Amino acid sequence: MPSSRKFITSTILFTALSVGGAVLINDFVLNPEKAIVAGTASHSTGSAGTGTTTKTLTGTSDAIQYIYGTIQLKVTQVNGKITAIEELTAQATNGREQAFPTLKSAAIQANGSNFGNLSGATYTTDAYKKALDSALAKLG
Amino acid sequence: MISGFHQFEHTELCMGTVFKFQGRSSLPHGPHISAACDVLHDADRMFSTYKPESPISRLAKGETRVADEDPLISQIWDECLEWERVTDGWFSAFTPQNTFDPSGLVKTWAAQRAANVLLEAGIFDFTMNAGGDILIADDASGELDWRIGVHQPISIAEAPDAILTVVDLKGTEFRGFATSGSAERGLHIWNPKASGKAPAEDLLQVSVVARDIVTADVWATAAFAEGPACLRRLEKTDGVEAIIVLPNGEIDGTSGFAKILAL
Repeated sequence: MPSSRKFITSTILFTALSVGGAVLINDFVLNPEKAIVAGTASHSTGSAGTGTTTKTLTGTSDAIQYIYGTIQLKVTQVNGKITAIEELTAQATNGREQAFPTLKSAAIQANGSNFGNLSGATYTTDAYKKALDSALAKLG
Repeated sequence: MISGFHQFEHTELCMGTVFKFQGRSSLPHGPHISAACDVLHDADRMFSTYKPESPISRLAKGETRVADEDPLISQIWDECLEWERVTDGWFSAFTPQNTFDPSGLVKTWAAQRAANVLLEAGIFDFTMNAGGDILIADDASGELDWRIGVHQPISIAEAPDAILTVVDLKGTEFRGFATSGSAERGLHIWNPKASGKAPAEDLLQVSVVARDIVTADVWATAAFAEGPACLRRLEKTDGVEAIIVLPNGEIDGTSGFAKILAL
């Protein structure tokens, strides 16, 4: 089903890129002209002994260039939940060793969950209105 | 809807930012929300450094004395000094020009007082968002009340959906969550220990979780001023956890922060 495959591909790409966004934080977003938007995805469906179906998807982003280096991610999704994120290549020119790799990967997996409040640097009323307008436009 | 049960959501523009109340009450909530908002506006009138006629502005210009003003001015002065002591000097209400500027404390200090108005009125089931800093009442029962999204260090005007991570405070001791960073207002936090109290720029963002919103807010400001070394200090501080974003986009945090991530 080509249309279904296309949907899966775009979902994985979106996931991979939003994960990339979480890893790269602002650099990717602030330097969109340097980001390469492409990637590959595959999926497999297996049957567990209990008769429930497990759907595993893996996606690999292209190497994303950003001002501090290059990053490429492999994302594995099982039944719609991200179970693994691998950094295939990651370089940062002035980064330091990750003291808490567990925190980082866990923080990325929490990405995209539902929440009731948003915490960030104290926004201006102007920024708040712009954000609200943008959210409303997407609904339309 | 069950009769006599009211769900409420109220947004109030104050202090140049947005305060949001969300909750549920069996009591008529309108008058109490209004009273809570009055607390916010009173604090703004008293402590705003943007209003030339505010007592704080007049203090900075040498036109009045703390002793001649409302006792709340004296109270917040003392609280700022106490927080300066607790944070080993990393939170400071004294500007590079050496005037008194309690802006780093006033927003969440006022938010807590506004929340107290609701609690005293018998409204216990709510959350408050004070311009990006969060307070959760003990009895908050909404499905998502305890889950907080942490924004990436990009202005919400540029990227409203850019989420760094999500925490879930249900079942924890934590009721306050605050974020400090340069994404919205630029380099607005000075480093009290730098030459000339230069702006702090060794971090993009710090988020701190604590038992209450004021503690979370003060530590987020202090940590932002201190830079990456703040993690060693926060690791030793009871009842506080933090996640930081370094200028190169790397994420780091205290060892306990992983326990509150929503998975």
